[in-house]
This record gives sequence, structure tokens and C-alpha cells, in this order.
Amino acid sequence: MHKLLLSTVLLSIVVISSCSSQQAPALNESDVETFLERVELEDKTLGPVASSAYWLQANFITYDSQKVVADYGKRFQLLALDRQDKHLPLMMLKFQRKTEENSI
Amino acid sequence: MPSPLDDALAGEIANIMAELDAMYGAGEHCFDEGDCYDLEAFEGVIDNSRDPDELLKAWEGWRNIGTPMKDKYLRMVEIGNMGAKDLGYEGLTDLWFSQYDMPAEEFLAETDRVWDELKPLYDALHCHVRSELSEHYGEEVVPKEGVLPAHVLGNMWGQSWANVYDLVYTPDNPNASSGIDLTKILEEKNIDEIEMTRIAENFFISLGFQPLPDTFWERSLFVKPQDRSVVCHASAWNLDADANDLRMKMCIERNAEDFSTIHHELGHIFYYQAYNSTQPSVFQSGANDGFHEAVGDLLALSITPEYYNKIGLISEAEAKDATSDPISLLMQQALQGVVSVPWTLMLDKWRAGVFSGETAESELNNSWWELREYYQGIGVPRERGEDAFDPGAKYHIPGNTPYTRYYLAQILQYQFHESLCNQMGFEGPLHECSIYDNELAGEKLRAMLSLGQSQEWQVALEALTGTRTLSGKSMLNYYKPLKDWLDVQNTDRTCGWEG
Repeated sequence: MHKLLLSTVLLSIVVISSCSSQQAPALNESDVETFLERVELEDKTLGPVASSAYWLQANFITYDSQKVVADYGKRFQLLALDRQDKHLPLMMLKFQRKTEENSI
Repeated sequence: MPSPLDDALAGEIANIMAELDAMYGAGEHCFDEGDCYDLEAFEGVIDNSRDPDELLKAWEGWRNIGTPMKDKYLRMVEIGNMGAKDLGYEGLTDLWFSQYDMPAEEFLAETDRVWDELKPLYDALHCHVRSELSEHYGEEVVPKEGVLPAHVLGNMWGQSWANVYDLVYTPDNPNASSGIDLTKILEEKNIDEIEMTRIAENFFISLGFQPLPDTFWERSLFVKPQDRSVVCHASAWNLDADANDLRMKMCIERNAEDFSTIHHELGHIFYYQAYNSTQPSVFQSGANDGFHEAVGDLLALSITPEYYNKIGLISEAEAKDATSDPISLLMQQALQGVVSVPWTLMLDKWRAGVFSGETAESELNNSWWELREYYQGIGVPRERGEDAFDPGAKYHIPGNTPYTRYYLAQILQYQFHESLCNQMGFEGPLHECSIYDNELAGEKLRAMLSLGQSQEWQVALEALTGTRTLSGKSMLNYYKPLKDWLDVQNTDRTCGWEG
């Protein structure tokens, strides 16, 4: 469930051209890749632990399991917001997916 | 449900969400000391009883758990709206419908367009069921005109009427089989909860999917524990993509409904397995959330008498006998599949009104019932109290699970089914087609699932069906024999409930 939330802040992966807007920050493909690497790493490291917290709460409804999952819920909400904050400048660029390996 | 950047509000909303989830999971109502019922106990009455007084007591009883949720729910929405705005959306509605690869208004117009296609089928079914239930219960309980009272439909939320099948359909030939009684078969063959899940897994394996990992069997919850409270609402979990840690959580009952639900949950699990191995983390999701819900349901459409025979649950003669009355089979399916369509559409329409503030706080419950009447033709059996919060008695409201996904799934599964059956070269009525053990169908399905969320949902739909458009026509084609039959039954009846 947390993964969906985190993924909502990400729409595309590879930059192919810059937006002409002068307001756009000076970001490039490398910035996007760095950002995505960070997201990938966070998902792989934090995601399973958070999932376990939710699993625990759903399987043992107690005061403590609620407390633990609420804490993880809060941390992930804030993480998602932080990502969104980082993502907004990237949204100023024009994106196109590069997924030839998935072409049908 | 997003939180604002503010630390205190983030903590508050996270707490409320956990509390609401627990209130539902641990919910029970006591009529008297020692006379307490949880959802399972109330459902035992609603699903099986034919005593209208007992049904009403159980129906109202469960709804008591919603009342204390109301203030918490409203506060959560208030904070959630702030969070959505912090994320750059106009509000929660805008955020929730932002995932469909088209503007929210355009997408919502699409869902209404498809409902317009399907409404004549639902109306015909509603008309017939109302008439038959009225015959059984009498006009005092079920009037021959107007809305259906919610407590006599064989389901706590009236979202499936499958449990009143025997009241609404009598085979032409009373000596013929009235279909397959899977619940009885499971008992007779001593098939337990794990074995039911193994049967569902084998369906996927027959399509070329990899078997589930050992950890799935070791870590999943299949049976309701006796020693603690758990959230029994069935769910599928993708805990760790790299470790392929996939789990199901379900308090399985050995009956036909849960057999179908197991297929539904495994649909999620095999979707996870397909994209976990092919997609980066950010694309490890369904093409849209409706796709995720549709996969298991697609397989459920292939649970035909012939399939039961192939896996050894019934004999060839029994399969032939069951197929001899297509209306019986289709009626059983429609009481679930068709009946759920307006329900799955209205639920998020209610939520959209609450999120946007169009629905006043004092009108939360009235608005819920107005929408249920408008879309489903279902009404309250008795006036509700001023403090009632009936939406809270449905898991997905306190649990904040978007519901449009189930609407999409209802439509998509028939589109997938019709398309795969056509591609397999199946000739015959769609309800007799099964994709079980079909290599081509498996290839097409696996190819679509492995895309995850890396492409727009229209691309994924096109990959499987050749079309990019959501359509109710496949569902209409599937149920055409039933619709023709219903039209004959309803010839002299007054149908509809408006006005």
C-alpha cells in the first residue's frame, strides 16, 4: 500500500528534452536518474519494514501495533512529501518513457 | 490519504487512520451483556436467515460500529485535503482520480458512459429480484414497486445478492440440477482452506505462471485465529519485492464465495510476482488499480462446470447437467457481478462529495442513502438515527481504500475474458469459455501483467484486448441469454424505482 502512495509522486523515468520555459531549473537527465536511484533504494530498504508494520497491525490488533503502524504511517507520509518536493522541479522538464524492453 | 507537511498533522492523521482501521477490525455490537456480535457473526445471520425481523436486527446491529467513527473520519478528511493541497492537487478528489492517465473529469465521464451501457441489464435484474422477494416476504417487507430494502438481500451491504439465488430463480425442470453446490462439494471432499488456495494457485500455474514461493504458504493467514483480533477483510500483500515475500490475509470459510475470493486475492499476488521481477520499484503497480482487481476475477469467470470436471471436483455427467440450465448459471453470476456494478460506482461518488465539502457534515448519512437509492435502487429498511454513519460499516471507508477500482475491475474482467476467449478461438456462449490450461491466454495475460505501471492503462488494455477503450459491451454479451430471459419475466411488471 505504501508503495502506491510513494509511486504517485513519480510519473516518468527518462528525460529526453528540456522544457523551453526559462522558469525551469537547470536539471538534466542525471538529476532524474539520481532521484530515481534514491527512490529505488528507499523503497527497497524502508518499504519492507513499513509493510511488516502494517502486516503486524492487521494481524495483531493491539494498542502497541496501532502505535507502531501510526508511526510508520507518519514517516512514510513525510517521506512521500519530501519526494514530491524534490520531484516538482523535475516535473518542469518534458519526459518520455524509455521502455523498449516492454514493447509489445 | 496524504498528510500535510506539518509534523503534528502528519502524526494526527496517521493516528486516526490506524484507529479507524482498528475500530473496524475489532468492531462488535452487544445487544445485551454476553450477547455480542462481530462482523462474522452478523454476516452469518444476514447471509443465511430468512426471518425479516432477525435480518433487520443484524443489519442495524452491525451499523452501530459506524457511529463513533464519524468525527474521526471527518477530521481525517479535513487533514487529508490539506495534504492533497500541499501536494499540488485541488483536493482529495483531484488526487484520488489523478492516476488514470487522463484528466479526472474525463475519466469520471468514462465511468458514467459505461454505466449507461449497463444500466438496462441491472434494471431488468432489479425488477425481477424485487418481484420474487416480494412474493417470498410479502409486500409489507418488500413492496412490489420502489426501492429494495437493504436487509433482505443476503449480504451485509447489498453488494451481492448471490445468497438469495434460491428465492429468485426456480429451474423450469424442478428435477434438474440447480447448479453446482461448491460449498457442499468442499465439505464432502474434505477440502480445507489451504487446499482451496492450492486449487486457485494451480489455475495460475496452468497458465504458465511460476508457483508461489514457500514463504507465501508459511507466512500467510488463511484461517481466523481464535486467540486475537485480526482484520479479517481479505487482502493480498507485496511485502518485499526483492525477496518475493508475498502473502494473503484472509479468514477463509469453506464455501463457494470464499473460493472465488481466494482467486481474487491470488490475482493480486500473481500480478505482484509478474512485475516485481520485471519492473523497477516505481512501476511495481497495476496499469491502474482496476487492473489489479480484475485479474483474479477474470479467472473466476473461467470457473465453469467443465473446469470443475477437469480438476476432479465433479463428474462429467454433473458438469453436463449443470450446463443444461444456462439461466441458472448466469443468474448466480449476475447476482454478484452485475449487482455490484452500481454499488462500486456509487461508493466513490459519495466519498467525492465528502472530500469536496459538497456534502454537508449533517448530511453524510442521508447522502449515502440517496446515492444508494439512485444507483442501486436500494433503501433503508427503517429510518436511520441522526447520529448514524452507515458508510463506516463498510471496510473501505474507514480503511480508505479507493473503490472505483472495483468498478473498473467489474468491467475489465469481462473485456479481458471475451477477448481471450475470442483469441483462443472459442466458439459458444461466453459463460462456457474457460481460459484454464490455455497457453495462449496465459501468454497474453502474463505479458500484460509484467508491464506493471510502466505504460498507460490504455496501452495495457490494448495489449490484451486490442482496444484502448473501456466498454460495458463484453458484460452485456456475456449476460445476453439472461437479459433475454429477464425481459420475458418482466413483461407484465412495473420496473424501475425512480419516483
